[in-house]
Amino acid sequence: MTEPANSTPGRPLPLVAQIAIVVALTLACGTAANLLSPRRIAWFEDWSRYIETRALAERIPLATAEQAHRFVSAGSHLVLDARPLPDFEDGRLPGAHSVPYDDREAGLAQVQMFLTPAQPILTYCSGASCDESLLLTLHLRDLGFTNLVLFAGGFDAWRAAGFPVEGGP
Amino acid sequence: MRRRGLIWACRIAIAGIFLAAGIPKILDPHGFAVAVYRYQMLPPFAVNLVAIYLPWLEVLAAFAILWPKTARGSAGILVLLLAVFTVAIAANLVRGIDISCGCFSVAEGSARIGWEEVVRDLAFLALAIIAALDPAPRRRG
Repeated sequence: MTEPANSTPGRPLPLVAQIAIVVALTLACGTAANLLSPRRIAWFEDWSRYIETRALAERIPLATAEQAHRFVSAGSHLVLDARPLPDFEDGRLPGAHSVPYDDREAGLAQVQMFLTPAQPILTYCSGASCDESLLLTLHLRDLGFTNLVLFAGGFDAWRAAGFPVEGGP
Repeated sequence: MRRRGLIWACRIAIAGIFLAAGIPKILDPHGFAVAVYRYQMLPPFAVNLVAIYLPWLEVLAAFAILWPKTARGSAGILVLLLAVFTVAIAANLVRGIDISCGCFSVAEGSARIGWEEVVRDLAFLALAIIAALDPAPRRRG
Protein backbone atom coordinates (compact mmCIF):
# COMPACT_ATOMS: atom_id res chain seq x y z
CA MET A 1 0.00 0.00 0.00
CA THR A 2 1.55 3.30 -1.01
CA GLU A 3 1.45 6.34 1.25
CA PRO A 4 -0.59 9.35 0.13
CA ALA A 5 1.66 11.77 -1.77
CA ASN A 6 1.12 14.55 0.74
CA SER A 7 1.51 12.63 4.01
CA THR A 8 5.09 13.68 4.82
CA PRO A 9 5.76 15.64 8.01
CA GLY A 10 5.49 19.44 7.56
CA ARG A 11 2.82 19.05 4.90
CA PRO A 12 2.07 22.52 3.55
CA LEU A 13 -1.14 24.30 4.35
CA PRO A 14 -3.38 25.43 1.47
CA LEU A 15 -1.76 28.39 -0.29
CA VAL A 16 -4.54 30.77 0.69
CA ALA A 17 -4.08 29.79 4.34
CA GLN A 18 -0.33 30.30 4.09
CA ILE A 19 -0.77 33.81 2.75
CA ALA A 20 -3.52 34.60 5.23
CA ILE A 21 -1.33 33.59 8.17
CA VAL A 22 1.53 35.86 7.07
CA VAL A 23 -0.82 38.76 6.38
CA ALA A 24 -2.64 38.33 9.71
CA LEU A 25 0.65 38.25 11.61
CA THR A 26 1.78 41.33 9.70
CA LEU A 27 -1.32 43.27 10.69
CA ALA A 28 -0.99 42.15 14.31
CA CYS A 29 2.73 42.87 14.67
CA GLY A 30 2.62 46.15 12.75
CA THR A 31 -0.30 47.42 14.79
CA ALA A 32 1.23 46.35 18.10
CA ALA A 33 4.62 47.85 17.21
CA ASN A 34 3.12 51.16 16.21
CA LEU A 35 1.04 51.32 19.38
CA LEU A 36 3.84 50.38 21.77
CA SER A 37 7.09 51.53 20.18
CA PRO A 38 8.68 54.85 21.21
CA ARG A 39 9.44 55.25 17.49
CA ARG A 40 5.80 54.98 16.46
CA ILE A 41 4.48 57.27 13.74
CA ALA A 42 1.05 58.69 13.05
CA TRP A 43 -1.31 56.31 11.26
CA PHE A 44 -2.06 59.09 8.79
CA GLU A 45 0.01 62.17 8.06
CA ASP A 46 -0.38 65.17 5.79
CA TRP A 47 2.59 64.52 3.50
CA SER A 48 1.49 67.32 1.19
CA ARG A 49 2.91 69.71 3.82
CA TYR A 50 5.93 67.60 4.75
CA ILE A 51 8.58 70.01 3.49
CA GLU A 52 7.06 73.04 5.19
CA THR A 53 6.47 71.12 8.40
CA ARG A 54 10.03 69.85 8.53
CA ALA A 55 11.48 73.24 7.57
CA LEU A 56 9.59 74.86 10.43
CA ALA A 57 10.75 72.16 12.81
CA GLU A 58 14.33 72.80 11.66
CA ARG A 59 13.77 76.59 11.97
CA ILE A 60 14.43 77.19 8.29
CA PRO A 61 12.63 80.32 7.02
CA LEU A 62 10.25 79.72 4.14
CA ALA A 63 9.60 82.01 1.18
CA THR A 64 6.43 82.29 -0.87
CA ALA A 65 6.60 82.61 -4.64
CA GLU A 66 6.12 86.37 -4.33
CA GLN A 67 8.91 86.67 -1.78
CA ALA A 68 11.20 84.55 -3.94
CA HIS A 69 10.40 86.83 -6.89
CA ARG A 70 11.36 89.90 -4.83
CA PHE A 71 14.67 88.28 -3.82
CA VAL A 72 15.44 87.34 -7.43
CA SER A 73 14.46 90.78 -8.78
CA ALA A 74 16.55 92.59 -6.16
CA GLY A 75 19.51 90.26 -6.60
CA SER A 76 19.72 90.09 -2.84
CA HIS A 77 20.08 86.32 -2.57
CA LEU A 78 22.31 83.70 -4.11
CA VAL A 79 19.77 81.37 -5.73
CA LEU A 80 20.61 77.67 -5.69
CA ASP A 81 18.67 75.09 -7.72
CA ALA A 82 18.78 71.65 -6.05
CA ARG A 83 17.26 69.75 -9.00
CA PRO A 84 19.24 67.43 -11.29
CA LEU A 85 21.18 69.30 -13.98
CA PRO A 86 18.88 68.35 -16.91
CA ASP A 87 15.93 69.93 -15.08
CA PHE A 88 18.00 73.07 -14.39
CA GLU A 89 18.94 73.34 -18.06
CA ASP A 90 15.29 72.97 -19.11
CA GLY A 91 14.32 76.06 -17.15
CA ARG A 92 15.21 77.78 -13.87
CA LEU A 93 14.72 80.89 -11.79
CA PRO A 94 16.64 83.81 -13.33
CA GLY A 95 20.18 83.98 -12.01
CA ALA A 96 20.00 80.57 -10.33
CA HIS A 97 23.04 78.32 -9.97
CA SER A 98 22.84 74.54 -10.29
CA VAL A 99 23.69 72.68 -7.07
CA PRO A 100 22.00 69.28 -7.47
CA TYR A 101 21.63 67.75 -4.02
CA ASP A 102 23.03 64.45 -5.26
CA ASP A 103 26.21 66.25 -6.41
CA ARG A 104 26.20 69.11 -3.94
CA GLU A 105 29.93 69.26 -3.26
CA ALA A 106 30.76 69.78 -6.94
CA GLY A 107 27.89 72.25 -7.29
CA LEU A 108 28.97 74.30 -4.29
CA ALA A 109 32.52 74.38 -5.61
CA GLN A 110 31.17 76.15 -8.70
CA VAL A 111 29.67 78.96 -6.59
CA GLN A 112 32.28 79.19 -3.86
CA MET A 113 33.30 82.69 -5.00
CA PHE A 114 29.87 83.91 -3.89
CA LEU A 115 29.80 82.06 -0.59
CA THR A 116 30.39 83.81 2.71
CA PRO A 117 28.84 82.58 5.96
CA ALA A 118 26.35 85.46 6.05
CA GLN A 119 25.52 85.39 2.31
CA PRO A 120 21.74 85.31 1.87
CA ILE A 121 20.90 82.08 0.03
CA LEU A 122 17.57 80.99 -1.50
CA THR A 123 17.19 77.30 -2.32
CA TYR A 124 14.50 75.58 -4.35
CA CYS A 125 13.76 72.42 -6.30
CA SER A 126 10.80 71.30 -8.39
CA GLY A 127 7.93 71.70 -5.98
CA ALA A 128 5.99 70.58 -2.97
CA SER A 129 6.86 66.90 -3.43
CA CYS A 130 10.61 67.48 -3.81
CA ASP A 131 12.59 67.71 -0.58
CA GLU A 132 16.06 68.06 -2.09
CA SER A 133 16.08 71.82 -1.59
CA LEU A 134 15.31 71.22 2.09
CA LEU A 135 18.14 68.68 2.32
CA LEU A 136 20.50 71.11 0.55
CA THR A 137 19.48 73.88 2.95
CA LEU A 138 20.18 71.67 5.95
CA HIS A 139 23.54 70.74 4.44
CA LEU A 140 24.41 74.43 3.98
CA ARG A 141 23.44 75.08 7.59
CA ASP A 142 25.75 72.27 8.69
CA LEU A 143 28.52 73.97 6.71
CA GLY A 144 27.99 77.16 8.73
CA PHE A 145 25.81 79.27 6.49
CA THR A 146 23.40 81.31 8.57
CA ASN A 147 21.19 83.28 6.18
CA LEU A 148 19.15 80.58 4.47
CA VAL A 149 15.67 80.72 2.98
CA LEU A 150 13.78 77.80 1.46
CA PHE A 151 11.38 78.32 -1.44
CA ALA A 152 9.33 75.16 -0.82
CA GLY A 153 6.88 75.76 -3.66
CA GLY A 154 9.83 75.51 -6.04
CA PHE A 155 9.94 75.82 -9.79
CA ASP A 156 6.36 74.62 -10.16
CA ALA A 157 5.03 77.44 -7.95
CA TRP A 158 7.27 79.99 -9.72
CA ARG A 159 5.87 79.05 -13.12
CA ALA A 160 2.31 78.89 -11.81
CA ALA A 161 2.72 82.47 -10.61
CA GLY A 162 3.71 83.49 -14.14
CA PHE A 163 7.17 84.76 -13.23
CA PRO A 164 9.90 84.82 -15.90
CA VAL A 165 12.02 81.73 -16.44
CA GLU A 166 15.61 81.52 -17.62
CA GLY A 167 16.90 78.86 -20.00
CA GLY A 168 14.97 76.02 -21.60
CA PRO A 169 13.77 75.54 -25.19
CA MET B 1 17.44 15.89 -4.26
CA ARG B 2 19.27 18.50 -6.29
CA ARG B 3 15.99 20.29 -6.99
CA ARG B 4 15.09 20.26 -3.31
CA GLY B 5 18.53 21.59 -2.36
CA LEU B 6 18.35 24.42 -4.90
CA ILE B 7 14.87 25.45 -3.77
CA TRP B 8 15.84 25.50 -0.11
CA ALA B 9 19.07 27.39 -0.86
CA CYS B 10 17.00 30.04 -2.62
CA ARG B 11 14.56 30.15 0.31
CA ILE B 12 17.40 30.72 2.77
CA ALA B 13 18.95 33.40 0.55
CA ILE B 14 15.65 35.24 0.09
CA ALA B 15 14.94 35.01 3.82
CA GLY B 16 18.29 36.64 4.57
CA ILE B 17 17.73 39.37 2.00
CA PHE B 18 14.32 40.32 3.34
CA LEU B 19 15.41 40.20 6.97
CA ALA B 20 18.24 42.60 6.07
CA ALA B 21 15.74 44.80 4.24
CA GLY B 22 12.91 44.76 6.76
CA ILE B 23 14.63 45.12 10.13
CA PRO B 24 16.16 48.61 9.55
CA LYS B 25 12.75 49.84 8.40
CA ILE B 26 11.06 48.50 11.54
CA LEU B 27 13.67 50.31 13.63
CA ASP B 28 13.13 53.64 11.82
CA PRO B 29 9.52 53.88 10.65
CA HIS B 30 9.68 57.65 10.14
CA GLY B 31 12.80 57.35 7.99
CA PHE B 32 11.10 54.67 5.91
CA ALA B 33 7.98 56.79 5.60
CA VAL B 34 10.11 59.60 4.16
CA ALA B 35 11.62 57.14 1.69
CA VAL B 36 8.13 55.93 0.67
CA TYR B 37 6.92 59.54 0.35
CA ARG B 38 9.83 60.43 -1.92
CA TYR B 39 8.82 57.73 -4.42
CA GLN B 40 5.74 59.88 -5.10
CA MET B 41 3.74 56.82 -6.11
CA LEU B 42 1.23 56.55 -3.28
CA PRO B 43 -1.59 58.82 -2.18
CA PRO B 44 -0.52 60.74 0.96
CA PHE B 45 -2.89 58.81 3.26
CA ALA B 46 -1.21 55.50 2.36
CA VAL B 47 2.39 56.51 3.04
CA ASN B 48 2.42 55.90 6.79
CA LEU B 49 0.36 52.70 6.53
CA VAL B 50 2.91 51.27 4.09
CA ALA B 51 5.76 52.43 6.33
CA ILE B 52 4.16 50.68 9.33
CA TYR B 53 3.15 47.37 7.78
CA LEU B 54 5.44 46.67 4.80
CA PRO B 55 8.59 46.04 6.89
CA TRP B 56 6.70 43.56 9.06
CA LEU B 57 5.42 41.79 5.94
CA GLU B 58 9.01 41.49 4.72
CA VAL B 59 10.34 40.14 8.02
CA LEU B 60 7.47 37.75 8.74
CA ALA B 61 7.45 36.39 5.18
CA ALA B 62 11.22 35.91 5.52
CA PHE B 63 10.67 33.71 8.58
CA ALA B 64 7.64 31.96 7.11
CA ILE B 65 9.53 30.97 3.96
CA LEU B 66 11.78 28.82 6.15
CA TRP B 67 8.84 26.79 7.54
CA PRO B 68 7.66 24.07 5.16
CA LYS B 69 4.00 24.63 6.04
CA THR B 70 4.07 28.26 4.84
CA ALA B 71 7.10 28.37 2.55
CA ARG B 72 5.38 28.55 -0.84
CA GLY B 73 2.77 31.12 0.18
CA SER B 74 5.46 33.30 1.72
CA ALA B 75 7.59 32.99 -1.37
CA GLY B 76 4.60 34.09 -3.42
CA ILE B 77 4.24 37.17 -1.23
CA LEU B 78 7.92 37.98 -1.70
CA VAL B 79 7.67 37.48 -5.47
CA LEU B 80 4.84 40.00 -5.51
CA LEU B 81 6.78 42.48 -3.35
CA LEU B 82 9.85 42.21 -5.57
CA ALA B 83 7.76 42.74 -8.69
CA VAL B 84 6.24 45.88 -7.15
CA PHE B 85 9.64 47.20 -6.00
CA THR B 86 11.19 46.59 -9.42
CA VAL B 87 8.38 48.42 -11.19
CA ALA B 88 8.51 51.31 -8.67
CA ILE B 89 12.24 51.83 -9.09
CA ALA B 90 12.09 51.52 -12.88
CA ALA B 91 9.14 53.92 -13.06
CA ASN B 92 10.97 56.56 -11.05
CA LEU B 93 14.09 56.16 -13.15
CA VAL B 94 12.01 56.72 -16.29
CA ARG B 95 10.35 59.74 -14.64
CA GLY B 96 13.80 61.12 -13.77
CA ILE B 97 13.09 61.20 -10.05
CA ASP B 98 16.39 61.04 -8.22
CA ILE B 99 15.89 59.50 -4.78
CA SER B 100 17.36 57.10 -2.33
CA CYS B 101 16.26 53.51 -2.78
CA GLY B 102 15.11 52.97 0.81
CA CYS B 103 15.65 49.27 0.11
CA PHE B 104 18.16 48.31 2.77
CA SER B 105 18.76 51.65 4.46
CA VAL B 106 16.44 54.54 5.26
CA ALA B 107 19.22 57.09 5.80
CA GLU B 108 18.82 60.19 3.65
CA GLY B 109 22.25 59.88 2.13
CA SER B 110 21.89 56.21 1.26
CA ALA B 111 22.35 54.79 -2.25
CA ARG B 112 20.37 56.57 -4.95
CA ILE B 113 18.31 54.47 -7.31
CA GLY B 114 19.83 53.41 -10.60
CA TRP B 115 19.32 50.68 -13.18
CA GLU B 116 21.67 48.46 -11.14
CA GLU B 117 18.94 48.33 -8.46
CA VAL B 118 16.50 47.13 -11.12
CA VAL B 119 18.91 44.40 -12.22
CA ARG B 120 19.52 43.44 -8.60
CA ASP B 121 15.80 43.19 -7.87
CA LEU B 122 15.25 41.07 -10.98
CA ALA B 123 17.93 38.68 -9.70
CA PHE B 124 16.19 38.55 -6.31
CA LEU B 125 12.91 37.95 -8.14
CA ALA B 126 14.43 34.94 -9.88
CA LEU B 127 15.54 33.56 -6.49
CA ALA B 128 12.06 34.12 -5.06
CA ILE B 129 10.39 32.37 -7.99
CA ILE B 130 12.62 29.33 -7.50
CA ALA B 131 11.90 29.49 -3.76
CA ALA B 132 8.18 29.31 -4.54
CA LEU B 133 8.50 26.00 -6.39
CA ASP B 134 7.33 22.76 -4.80
CA PRO B 135 10.46 20.88 -3.63
CA ALA B 136 8.59 17.56 -3.78
CA PRO B 137 6.24 17.67 -6.80
CA ARG B 138 3.62 14.93 -6.80
CA ARG B 139 4.27 12.01 -9.13
CA ARG B 140 1.55 11.13 -11.62
CA GLY B 141 -0.13 7.67 -11.49
